Amino acid sequence: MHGLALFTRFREGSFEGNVCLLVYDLPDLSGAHLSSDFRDLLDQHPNTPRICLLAPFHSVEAIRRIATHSTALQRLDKAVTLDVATLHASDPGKLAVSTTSLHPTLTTGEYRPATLNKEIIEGWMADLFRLHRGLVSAPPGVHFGKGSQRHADRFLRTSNLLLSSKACAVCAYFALAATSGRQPRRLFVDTAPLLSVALMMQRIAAVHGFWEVAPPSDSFSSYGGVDQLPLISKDDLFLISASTSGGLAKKLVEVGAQPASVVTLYLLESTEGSEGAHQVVCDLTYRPGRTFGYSKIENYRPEACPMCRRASFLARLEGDQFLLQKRAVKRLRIVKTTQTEDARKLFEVFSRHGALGVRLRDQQIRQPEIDFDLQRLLKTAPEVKEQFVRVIRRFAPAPLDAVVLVGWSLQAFHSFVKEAGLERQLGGIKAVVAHDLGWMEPVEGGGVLVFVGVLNDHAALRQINAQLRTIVPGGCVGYVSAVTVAESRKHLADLRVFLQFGEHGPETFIFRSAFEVMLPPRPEGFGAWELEAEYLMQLRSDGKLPTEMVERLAWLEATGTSASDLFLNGKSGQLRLARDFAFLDTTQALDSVTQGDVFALVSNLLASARNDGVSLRATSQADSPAALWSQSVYGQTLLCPSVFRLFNDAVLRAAFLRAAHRTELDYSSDLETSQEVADVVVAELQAWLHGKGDALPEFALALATSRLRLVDHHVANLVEVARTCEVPDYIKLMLASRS
Amino acid sequence: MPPSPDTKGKPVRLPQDLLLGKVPVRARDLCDEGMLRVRVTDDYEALVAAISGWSEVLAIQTLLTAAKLADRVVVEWQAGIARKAFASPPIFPLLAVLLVLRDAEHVHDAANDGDGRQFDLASARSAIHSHVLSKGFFVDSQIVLCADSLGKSTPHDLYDPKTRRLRNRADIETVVLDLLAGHQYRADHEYGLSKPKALAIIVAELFENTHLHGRLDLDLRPVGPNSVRGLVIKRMELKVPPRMGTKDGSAGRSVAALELSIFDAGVGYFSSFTREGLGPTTDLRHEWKVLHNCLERHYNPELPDQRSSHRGMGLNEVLRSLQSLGGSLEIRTGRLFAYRSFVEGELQPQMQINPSEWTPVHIWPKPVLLDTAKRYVAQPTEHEQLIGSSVRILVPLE
Repeated sequence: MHGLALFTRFREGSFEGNVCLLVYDLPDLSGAHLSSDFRDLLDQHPNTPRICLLAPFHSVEAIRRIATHSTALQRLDKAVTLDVATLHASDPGKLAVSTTSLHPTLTTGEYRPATLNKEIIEGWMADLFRLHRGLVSAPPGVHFGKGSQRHADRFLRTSNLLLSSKACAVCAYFALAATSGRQPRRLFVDTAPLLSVALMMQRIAAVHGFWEVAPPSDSFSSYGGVDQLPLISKDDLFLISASTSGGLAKKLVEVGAQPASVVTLYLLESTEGSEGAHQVVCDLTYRPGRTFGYSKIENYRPEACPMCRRASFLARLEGDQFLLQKRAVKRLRIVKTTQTEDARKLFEVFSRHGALGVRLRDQQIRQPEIDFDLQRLLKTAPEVKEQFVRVIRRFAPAPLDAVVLVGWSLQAFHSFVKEAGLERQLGGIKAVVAHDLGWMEPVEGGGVLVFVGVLNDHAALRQINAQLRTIVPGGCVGYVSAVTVAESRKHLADLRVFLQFGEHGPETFIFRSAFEVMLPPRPEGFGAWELEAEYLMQLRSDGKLPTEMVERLAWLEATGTSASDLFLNGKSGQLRLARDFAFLDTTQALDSVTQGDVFALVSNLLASARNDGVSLRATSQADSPAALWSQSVYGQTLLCPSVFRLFNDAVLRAAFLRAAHRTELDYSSDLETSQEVADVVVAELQAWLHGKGDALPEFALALATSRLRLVDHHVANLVEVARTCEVPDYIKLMLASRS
Repeated sequence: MPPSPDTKGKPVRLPQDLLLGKVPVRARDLCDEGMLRVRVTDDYEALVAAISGWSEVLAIQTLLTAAKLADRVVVEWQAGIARKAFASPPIFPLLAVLLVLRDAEHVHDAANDGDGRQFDLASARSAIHSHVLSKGFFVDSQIVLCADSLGKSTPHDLYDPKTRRLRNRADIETVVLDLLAGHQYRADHEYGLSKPKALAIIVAELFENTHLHGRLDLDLRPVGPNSVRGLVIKRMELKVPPRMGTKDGSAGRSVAALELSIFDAGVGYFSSFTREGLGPTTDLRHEWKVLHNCLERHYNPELPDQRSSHRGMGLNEVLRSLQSLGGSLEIRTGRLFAYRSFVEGELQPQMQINPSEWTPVHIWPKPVLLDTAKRYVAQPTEHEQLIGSSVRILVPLE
């Protein structure tokens, strides 16, 4: 994307959708940029019926000319409106933001402006805040002492946002809109990073003809600097980055600032009140009916701070600065309770049929690596068929006018209906493959069943939902799937709300699945098997491919999806699941458990661990903070080496090495965990002599492809140990390739 | 040059045997009894320099198709050109592709003079993989190759070396912009388009397409032993027809031009879009429509798109950009060979008045391609079916 895309939700009657702000800072903005961004935007966020352009450094006429003189508008269908934001004088002494419609063009050819709802502006600004993690939470055992002489466990750090001219420009644009538009004499900002916003304000005000000259700008260092401010004039403008109490604005007014000239970019109300803030650009406080925001912040006076009483460490903030330290290591642990009850049931039903495969590579992004062979499951796993048929009987609308097939051919659907005894409900009903939906005759008030095999492409179903709203107006639509895959509870809940919400509220339509499973999306970039193939191809190209790997490379090149042969063989041949595995009943048909089953199960465990064990069926209160297990500048999440110690089955170790994110296996910057993993590999090397160490080839491959990274001297030590052990040369080669 | 001991058949001499003459070159005719025997002689550079308007990317696509049809590929080099090509392969695009054919055998007439080290195939392949585009036209032609079947698929200019991910579009645009640094373009302030940037956007999108659709077959397997994708950059002469109404009988003139070509050896536009194989019984008009739908999302809503994430590159924008650049475009995929040209002096059919009635009147190209054989007509001619796809963009430099 060339522009910065910010989203918020809007409601019009029963309809709810995204409204997107596209912000541009390109001096040579062209129709090609817009067109390319519209395409990507609508691909990734299909339910975005409103788009608003903001190019603060261009005049509105210039943007209008760029958009209408290009083919960009042809990307938008009639249901999508495109506006351009304009800044203009409104009530006496005030500026306001309006929008002028560019698409669809009014029949009169006029461009009619409309005032932009403040809630939408606040939603966009809140999205910018969220994207850059402006809300900083104290780690356990620590709380903050702020310049306002209050203690809290959260604070707002606006400087986190100010990383690009686009972000600065959007803040400056809406901050300018909160002023009178009159030429200020001087511009004061509370912290130095906000000078970038001040400079942007100068530029925008000049482009739009509000200010004739650029006023000098100074930072006054927040509360600590108010006393050092020069004599304040009524023409001075003040910019405050963030506030929870409104105390700084109040203090500025006390020393002579005009209330209308004190602009606060972000406000998050505190439980003790925030009356002092005047011109607030974005109020982040969550309120009923809002689709964004945070709960009120709890500010305490030092003498009454409960955190101080609990001996929590007080970290004093100067402005919004604090020191960075070495990234903390968070260990992603897998224990018995990581597997949720519903996942356990699902894998008991789905395993042992050879129906869970792995797509070794893919063209799509954000799809899981696991491939479900549903037709096989329907034939060999009676419970799958039984559950699916029950869901269809229970939730198919009646009367039914049409069935929309997703992931089913017409032939497969008709034969399933016959085999499952569903002729009474579905026999003779018109069936349409989803791709043909575009020219289905509208059925006003009709009943439609969307019939999905394996639902893993949520965006595709959202597109179908959008199409059906016009094809079956006022009708009844049911969505049923045999298996629904989601990466988290929230992900699934979002889809449910999206599909079910309509003119009669949250259950206008119905969406049900026979089975739901949590699986992570395929990582971006090359996956484990692609990296393996690339590594072996390079060896072949250099004439160094070991004979043991020739067959393996041939298999990788000839295979797209597989349920078996996924992992490198160990000393005793194919890796198989041993008895006494905690996550699957190994007393039944153990030999039928495939490597695909194990990989799918391990992928589910990792997804569950990354979601803090919150099941797909949990309530929203159970959600953990989104950033808990993500990588950040403050903390690195590593797969806990205990996973390799506890699960000493080679097939499980192999599955964890292939299913974990590369970043979760990067132990190279943490001596302690690297040593723990190196110890496991050394034990594998030494066990090889005694007919064990079946996971050794997979560890060696993970090191060779850099999926697994250890501290340099640990790798060197492994190479040395391998030299003294009688392990095959191809393993020595892999271990040594990154040393 | 001694032929390989057990070679048979007539050799294919480069580049002349791959040129589009009056009788089109057919990839299957290049193979003789299952063998593709390619000969590169010391006068290769002189021959290439003597050809005007040669589509090297089409030669590459034809060669890749012939290599797929052949059971065995033998490349016979004369020592002089071999020495140069093995030392600096990226500046010889066609020869660089020969060097990355996985199972091709390379023989040269210096093999027995004790100086075989300078013909080290592994070193030549490493040089191709590690090549960083020369900026500002230090050389007349160069290639960035993704040799997927050699495990060397992520050249630095197009992939992030740390994450191994395809660079984002802005990065690829930067690569193209740097490449064009120092060149002037025709001024066209009327549309407010930045010319180099418009070109960079097209290249970025086309290359992204090869990453998404040019590496895997319909079963998500690598496309074969010669899975290659690439970006060819050349400086060349473009023949501009005489201006209409000139009475001096001039035959037109040559202008300096830039060629940017993208190719792959994948399943081609048709199969990528429909997820079906392309065969001799496939209706040619259907294939033509599919090509247009690949390029333009709303071109023909009758055709169901089997790709879950539609990424039509926007033929409308491409043609508009090319129109403002005065350039041309050629697309060869499956059995189709299509083009559009906005080169000054060329007849320009399939134009329309700007579709928005509320903006000033402009003559814009309709989002349709023309057939290279029939010229000026938007009806396809059946050509030999080639693997993958190639897109060649020519833009005059001023």
